[in-house]
Amino acid sequence: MGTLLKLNQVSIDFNTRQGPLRAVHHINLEIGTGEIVCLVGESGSGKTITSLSIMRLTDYEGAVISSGELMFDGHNLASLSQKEMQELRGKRIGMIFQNPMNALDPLFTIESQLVDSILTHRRVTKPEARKLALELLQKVGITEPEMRLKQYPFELSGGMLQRVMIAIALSCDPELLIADEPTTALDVTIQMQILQLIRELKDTLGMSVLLITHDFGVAIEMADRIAVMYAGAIVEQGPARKLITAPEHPYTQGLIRSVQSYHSHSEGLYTIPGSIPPLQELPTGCRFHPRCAFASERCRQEEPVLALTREQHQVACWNTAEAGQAFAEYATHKETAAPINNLAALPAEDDLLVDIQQVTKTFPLRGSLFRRSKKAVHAVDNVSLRIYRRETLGLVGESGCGKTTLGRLLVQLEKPTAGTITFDGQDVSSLSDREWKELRRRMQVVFQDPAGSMNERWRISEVIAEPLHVHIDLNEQDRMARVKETMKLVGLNPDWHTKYPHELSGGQLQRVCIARAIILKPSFILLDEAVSALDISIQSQIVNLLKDLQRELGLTYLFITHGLDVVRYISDRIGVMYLGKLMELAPAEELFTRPAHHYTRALLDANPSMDPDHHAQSSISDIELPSPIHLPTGCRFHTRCPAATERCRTEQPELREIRDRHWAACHHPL
Amino acid sequence: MFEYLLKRLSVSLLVVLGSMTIVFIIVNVLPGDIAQMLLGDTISTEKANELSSNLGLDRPLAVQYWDYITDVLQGNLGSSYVNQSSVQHTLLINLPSTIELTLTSSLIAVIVGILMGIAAAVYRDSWIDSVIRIISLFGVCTPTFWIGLLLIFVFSVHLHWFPAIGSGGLSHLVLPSVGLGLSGAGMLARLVRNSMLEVLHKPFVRTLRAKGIRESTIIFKHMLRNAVIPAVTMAGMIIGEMLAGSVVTETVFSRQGIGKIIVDAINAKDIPMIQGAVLLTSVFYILINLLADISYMYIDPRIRKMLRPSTQ
Repeated sequence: MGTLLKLNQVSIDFNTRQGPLRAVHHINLEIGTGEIVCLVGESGSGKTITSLSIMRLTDYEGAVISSGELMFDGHNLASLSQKEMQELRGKRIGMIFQNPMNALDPLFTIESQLVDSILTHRRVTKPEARKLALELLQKVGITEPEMRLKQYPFELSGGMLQRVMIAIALSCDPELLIADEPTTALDVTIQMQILQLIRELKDTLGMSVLLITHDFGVAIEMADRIAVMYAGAIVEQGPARKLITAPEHPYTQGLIRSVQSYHSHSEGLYTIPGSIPPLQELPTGCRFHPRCAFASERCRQEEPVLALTREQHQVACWNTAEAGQAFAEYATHKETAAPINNLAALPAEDDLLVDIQQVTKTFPLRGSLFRRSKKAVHAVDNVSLRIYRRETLGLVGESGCGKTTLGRLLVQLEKPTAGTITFDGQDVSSLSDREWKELRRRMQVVFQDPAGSMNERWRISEVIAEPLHVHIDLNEQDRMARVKETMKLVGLNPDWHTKYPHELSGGQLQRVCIARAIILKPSFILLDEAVSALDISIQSQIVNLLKDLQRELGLTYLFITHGLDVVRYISDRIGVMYLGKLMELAPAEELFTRPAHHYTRALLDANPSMDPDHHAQSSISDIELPSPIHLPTGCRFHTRCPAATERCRTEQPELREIRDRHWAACHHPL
Repeated sequence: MFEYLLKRLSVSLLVVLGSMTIVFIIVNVLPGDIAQMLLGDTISTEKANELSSNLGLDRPLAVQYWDYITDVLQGNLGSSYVNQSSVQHTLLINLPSTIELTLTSSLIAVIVGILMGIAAAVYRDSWIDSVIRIISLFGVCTPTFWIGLLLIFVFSVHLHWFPAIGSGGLSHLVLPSVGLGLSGAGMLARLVRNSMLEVLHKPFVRTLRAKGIRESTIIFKHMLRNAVIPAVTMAGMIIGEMLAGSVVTETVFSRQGIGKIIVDAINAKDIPMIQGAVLLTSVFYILINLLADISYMYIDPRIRKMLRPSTQ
């Protein structure tokens, strides 16, 4: 196998007003012909800017390749002119990006964007290009390709758009495909389809793939080799399987242990202390040493370089021996630890806090001037659900399933179209404004984007104290004492109260949001994708914090997420939603080990795992998610269900208890 | 689509009616007896009253308003108090010259403005950007009449390139159009620069580059089209304002046109003429903005689809 691309001692600097800022430092990376290499790292690790540098798109992002060479088939890409690069881009190197929804020009049809790409690099006539465009769409498995060609990007779903992006990237048979987080913005079942497609195309076209991801699960699923990046440097790289089973760098080990601990039911998740340092404040010596358990004096002084430790495996660490041994111990211990059946440990179902009864929410579509539209989006359809005191109820489902709407209905950010919601015995829809304000003290919300959910011009103390201003009359001194006490509770340094949001990291900001939510001592918190945007090492810290707070303050959580591993770990019971319906409801472990609904099964199958022997798969057909305006008759899932029968097409299944505390809405449960 | 236009047109009619009403009220609350003013101070009150009743000014306001509206709906704008000529006729004679001026100055504003905006965005933070930003700032904050006077001073008085005043051939049109167009160009340049910069950071631009599309194609075919949508709204307003701005410009350059008619009519208290000219201006303004809205649909498929009945 020949080498197609070789990065040799490449450094990339951002041009800032304060001078160059090193984003990537002396990295070496090789991609062989027909090989899939995964670049894994958390946000700010420099993986995306590395991928852009191969296309020399860094020039447009205010960055320069300041040293090293990028050898691609005998050319040093770093020394080519932009004009020469332009001929390579899209022709010999194709690229797809993270969010397909905004990666295409919204004002041009799919056909025109495909044809443009073909005409730029191939000597064909326009009609020929059109024919090729159609063939490409067929090749990437898009349904009704003729119709799609005439459509605009906003008319296609995310999964379809990513297929279009792949078609564009493949339009000139490139030798290298760079995929920058190609599935991060997509639902898990769609993610699996896209990954499978990339692998199939790689095999048939014999191209190489550089896959950038933050998700170890995806990397294991896809990679021949994995390179792990941390704060602008590659800390470890080698063949995928060995790297996962026997990692040698403490950072890689930490990440893998964090991910695996979601399945372990130990007290608390494994976490890497601290957070990724900003580029301006990189530590001396090894850039990981302030967070490393094995850090020695040498690590503080001297920067380790990648060195071969075993066949094809390189690590940049001074203490691989100790670290390797520690991981081996952990690995043997993990295998002997038996999974706990937590059915017995479930909170008692006698202390009802929230009772959602047959709640429906429809959003009418705007009609025209003369006709009122009869169509509506059925966001939540006749859902009944109970949440007991001190439990965590997880709610999972793909985008558009209605989980967020259900949460918003519960805290009355939306009014239900039908049905009742009772909170601690009180029907929330019948409350007066005063009673409602009183009740709202007891239910709080934490959203996905912490920075977006606070006023960036307020100090941290003001953000946290805001609920106090609304609900409790306190003097300045008492209020401040309360703020500091709460900050301590969520693991924030109380001295930071004068800081502004932009001075804090994402994980710290989410702690601020949690502090704001608990400062009124509520009994219920709605966590809407509260940890989804966080890096894995930070995510585990926040999940641990939420668990601790629940124990100390007796909180009840509704935990809404699309992340299956997190929800399994944190929840007592889990509800699965699909197109506005509650499909299944069961204790967490029961749901994951014995799912009853075919949709749940499909979700679990598609979830990439950390086990290199177990491949995620797509057990449902490639058919797109139906639109919530034109819902299927009968069971909502029948169009994609492998076990659908005539009955499923006509008769809507009711949610019924099929095992102890295990409810499913399916005619033919597993 | 058709439904949308119908809706927009009916709203536009209401706006025209509203502007007619406002002008009617303003003209009538002005202090002083109109007939007295038309005839001058030396004329006796009897003579003035006689004129008032001839012109129908002694009737109750509501009746006058009703008559005015029904006349306009029948296509009759009345006749001038000053020389009894038909208002329609006077406006029609003078309209071409104003349209000429508005058209050329709009073209200058749109073309120069957009080009400056693109150049400033593409060469952001360079000297080109700085020069363009200074020019556009100058255009935005300098009053039209002052730009006009400067242009006359430099290009007619000193350089003798163009005639200073009067209407006529193309040479008469250059200075007024530039003077009137510059402020619009300044506003558009600033807007286009900002929205180009916004588009520049959109992920699809990165995709286009990754496809190997030429940079000039990316700028003019993709980025400009995305960036121009807010500029279209503003261009609509700017062109409308050109018409209003022609009041000043036509006076400064002593050109014929609607602007000059309005100024003269106000000085002479020639109410039918004022009302007719304002009506014409507001209809024009509304049509331009309607045109801007329609061009959105051409530019942005999302707006087109939103207005089309669902095909699903």
